[in-house]
Amino acid sequence: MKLLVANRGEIAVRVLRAARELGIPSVAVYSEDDRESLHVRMADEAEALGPAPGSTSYLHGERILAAARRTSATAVHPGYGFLSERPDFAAVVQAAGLLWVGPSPAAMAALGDKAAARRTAQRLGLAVTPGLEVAEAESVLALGLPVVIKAVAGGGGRGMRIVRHESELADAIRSAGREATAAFGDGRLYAERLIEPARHVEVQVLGDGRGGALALGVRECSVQRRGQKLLEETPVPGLPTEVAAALEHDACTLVREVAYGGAGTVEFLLGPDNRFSFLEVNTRIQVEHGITELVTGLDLVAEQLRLAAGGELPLRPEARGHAIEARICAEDPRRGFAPAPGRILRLRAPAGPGVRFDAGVAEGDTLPEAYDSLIGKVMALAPSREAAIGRLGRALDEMEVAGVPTTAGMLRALLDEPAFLNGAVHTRWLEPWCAARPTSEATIVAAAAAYAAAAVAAGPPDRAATPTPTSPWTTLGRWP
Amino acid sequence: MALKLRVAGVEAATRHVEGGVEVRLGDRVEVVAVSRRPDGTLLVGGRPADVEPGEVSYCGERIAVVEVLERPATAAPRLPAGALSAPTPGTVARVLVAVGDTVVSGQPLLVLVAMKTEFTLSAPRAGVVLSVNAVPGASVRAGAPLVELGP
Repeated sequence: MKLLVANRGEIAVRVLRAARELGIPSVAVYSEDDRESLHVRMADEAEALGPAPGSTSYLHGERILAAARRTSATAVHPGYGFLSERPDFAAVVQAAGLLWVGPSPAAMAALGDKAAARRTAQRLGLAVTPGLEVAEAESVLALGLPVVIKAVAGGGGRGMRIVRHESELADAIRSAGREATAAFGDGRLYAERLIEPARHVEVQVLGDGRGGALALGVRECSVQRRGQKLLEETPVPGLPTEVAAALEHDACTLVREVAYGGAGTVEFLLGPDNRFSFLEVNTRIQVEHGITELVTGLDLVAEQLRLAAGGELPLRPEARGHAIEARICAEDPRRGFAPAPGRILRLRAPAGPGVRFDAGVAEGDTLPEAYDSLIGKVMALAPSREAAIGRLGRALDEMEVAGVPTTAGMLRALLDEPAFLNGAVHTRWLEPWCAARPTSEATIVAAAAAYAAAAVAAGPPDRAATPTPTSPWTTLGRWP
Repeated sequence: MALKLRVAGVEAATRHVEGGVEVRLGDRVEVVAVSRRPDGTLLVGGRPADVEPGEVSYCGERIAVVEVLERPATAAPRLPAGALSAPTPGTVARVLVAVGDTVVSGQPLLVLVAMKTEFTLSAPRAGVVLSVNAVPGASVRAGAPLVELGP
């Protein structure tokens, strides 16, 4: 096998590491803005695709196939996002005689398309929330507000909007459609009645493509902003064993039905009464796969490669301990999680017992504006949830990221929050909590000291000959 | 040198002392170790800090810092009072208000796209739109004034 990784950032690095361990030669592809990215440096070979926008690079199937031909690659791993959930791309990869590391195009279409997946789930007797494909605004109103609008073609919160008032609906549909088109090359939308408060839980599955299925536990992913996850853990705190078993059972029912092959995730909403309803299937590896790897000891990317080549499902490993992950994103939690592209001036990885750090960038690299804000993921494994939280906190304290604002400090504070410690967090909880969170005294003291120290270096303003644009004296007027 | 600052809305007084900076926050007085790495990075309490105009980045957080001392006005360019600036470099997706519009607090003013995400800039308070410096499709830099609100 010679593996082309049709992605960038953290997941491309993750797949390249697995290829290196298995002795599989690798090919990276890159856009003009990614010429010096970490994934390019880690691959055996690298091929240019085109300008930065997804449509001319990582979403351009023909250019990716041409890169595979030029390098004589024999397999394509799509990562997550971009073309990973596009059955048409999987089909052309297979038609070109290449191995597709993922489910068959038919299985992807049956479960990845949200409308089709819901029909299949209903037919198999799974609980499903009321919903419909978005044709025009009127049809959505028939569901009753509030609703959540989602992209038919992909996950990760892209193209997702919550609509509570009729006046917001038309705008939400337009804006979600644009975001979905940009992210997945498919602007079709789906609307579902919004269930709240609800927790977001999901089952990691593997399928052998011949009707065999294996569930690898349930993850809790309720700490979200804009419908996108920021912190995940497994197993789900406080979830009764029989409910976890029922979730795994339903997930495997879907996997068997469509003869799903490879890794996937079946997502559910979990109500306060532990009743759940089917949400969607992500027909690919997910960002948070690492915490399942920590508790099961499996390498899910290696399993994907093995299963794609026709291998058998692994035996179900005995899960041990509790794993938790914090996503370090270049965003400003103090400004509504505004994305913050820029240069990573310093990056000191956390380490030590039970800690794993998967990043897509190295110190000195630039996070382009064209791609998502994920810098990396800090994961911790420990025998209990309490110990895992303590370990993650220690790791976040140890990590240093400078140059862009990140979600690290906010997630560190979250680990001390009683609502989080008690498992009382639902999917709409984080944003109001974050907005109301005061800056800690320790942070205020440090910021004051930093400002004062920089002021000395810059000198008083009236004596500074030419204030530079980065000098603290060129202070911009703030909102009053 | 002593400074009076407003940090994240809280008044703080600073004074340089041996090896660092003394910070007074109400009754709390603390000496914070400050040094520089060979590469010029500022280390505060052992962790890197970036000082930018009007704000300090520390442990991933951006904290607004302004001086409240009676210092001479700086010659540097200032945003007009009431200007709403771009929180991130990005592309303007939509402009939702026009000059002369009356807006309420929290009303969406314009939408930026950055890092594959649409981000809405909302009015921090009620007011009248005095100017709009953004057109759909335009690239903007972080800190660029986009909408100016009058009382």
